[in-house]
Amino acid sequence: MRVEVLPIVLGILPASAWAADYLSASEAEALMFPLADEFAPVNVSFDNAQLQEIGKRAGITARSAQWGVLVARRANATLGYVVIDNVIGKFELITYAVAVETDGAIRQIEILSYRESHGGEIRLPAWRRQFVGKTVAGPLRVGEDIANLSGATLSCNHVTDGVRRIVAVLQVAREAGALP
Amino acid sequence: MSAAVRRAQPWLGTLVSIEVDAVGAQAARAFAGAFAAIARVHAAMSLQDAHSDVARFNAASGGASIECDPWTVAVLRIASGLRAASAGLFDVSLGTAGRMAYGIVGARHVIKLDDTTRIDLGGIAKGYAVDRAVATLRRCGVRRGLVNAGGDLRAFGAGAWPIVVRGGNALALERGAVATSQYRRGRTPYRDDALIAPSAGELHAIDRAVTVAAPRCVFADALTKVVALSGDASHPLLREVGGRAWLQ
Repeated sequence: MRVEVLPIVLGILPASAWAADYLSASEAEALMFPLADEFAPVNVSFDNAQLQEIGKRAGITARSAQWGVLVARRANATLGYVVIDNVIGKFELITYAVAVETDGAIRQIEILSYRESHGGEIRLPAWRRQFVGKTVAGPLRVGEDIANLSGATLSCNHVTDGVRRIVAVLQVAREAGALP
Repeated sequence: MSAAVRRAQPWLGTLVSIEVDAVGAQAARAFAGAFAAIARVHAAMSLQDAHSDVARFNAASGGASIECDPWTVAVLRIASGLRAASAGLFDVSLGTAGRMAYGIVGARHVIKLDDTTRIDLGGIAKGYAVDRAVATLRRCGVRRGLVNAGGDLRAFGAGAWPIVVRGGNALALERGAVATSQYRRGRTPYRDDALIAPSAGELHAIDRAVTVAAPRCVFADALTKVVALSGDASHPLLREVGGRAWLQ
């Protein structure tokens, strides 16, 4: 096995809560439908029978009877839909955007932000000591805006469940004539 | 760090985030290419997706030749090397009782050696995907960036990146890759929560977190398992791949 350039670990710093913002809603919309000249907001309401149908198709409850959908248009032609949603996992809140084609196929999924919902961390002196003597820590930005987490237990199961739910929501809304 | 832009998508059963020092069309091209590389690894090596190389291998009967993405074959070659060098501590085969599960033929074909064996690339594919994404970013002319697949991450270019290791501390990574695996006693034996001892088929649930730094993320990812199972933060294989490890 060939040895390549050695990794450099500069030092160890105290950790804090973790959060990351990736895209704003409007940035995500423009990224996912670059040709659209308009994103028209449409509020869709479902009755009980429709909610059951959504639950059946998605294999997961519809969660809400009200859904906000952005219809991506270009010169009044519908290009597709964008739904922005939040899911809460065990420890995290994830905001994400799903772009869906007019035939119901998923076009793209983008994470807008990710937040740890608990900030407490365990200090383990013995473990910390292993890093001592590895030179300077340096003036590094550590805090609310840390972008990188190693050893994360984060899972995207809630996102994939959410995406499935949104696909079913859009299907049922289109069949009911609630969306162009 | 001011010029960095970042993006995240759900792949490989986790969130994959990519951060680059780039702007405009170059950043857009770099993100598109790097996420396409991640998506290719996901499509080829997912355990769940019935069309993946891994699922087709697992469903095939003994003696079958399975045509695979060359990237899957590359990962299996690396896995074979690590298996030999770690005396079987690292093993992507399940239910083989210590035998090899596969043979490699050329760049695109894998032979399944017997009916009952299965493979799971969950302990190596994320690291490989990160390396592929980094290579793509560099090809797009990005000078500095970071790819993080649910905690298996790699940085390149000048300037340190702050990395938080869950459960306690942060470190500053100048370049190279870091992966952390946590093992907790009494947890469901699934993926990174526990290890299936490769040779004995016996459950090893160990109360520890292992962090490995290495030049390539595929080695950082795979060697967390070797260090966890051996309990040896100075395992000789670390030196071979230019890595080092910390036990928590």
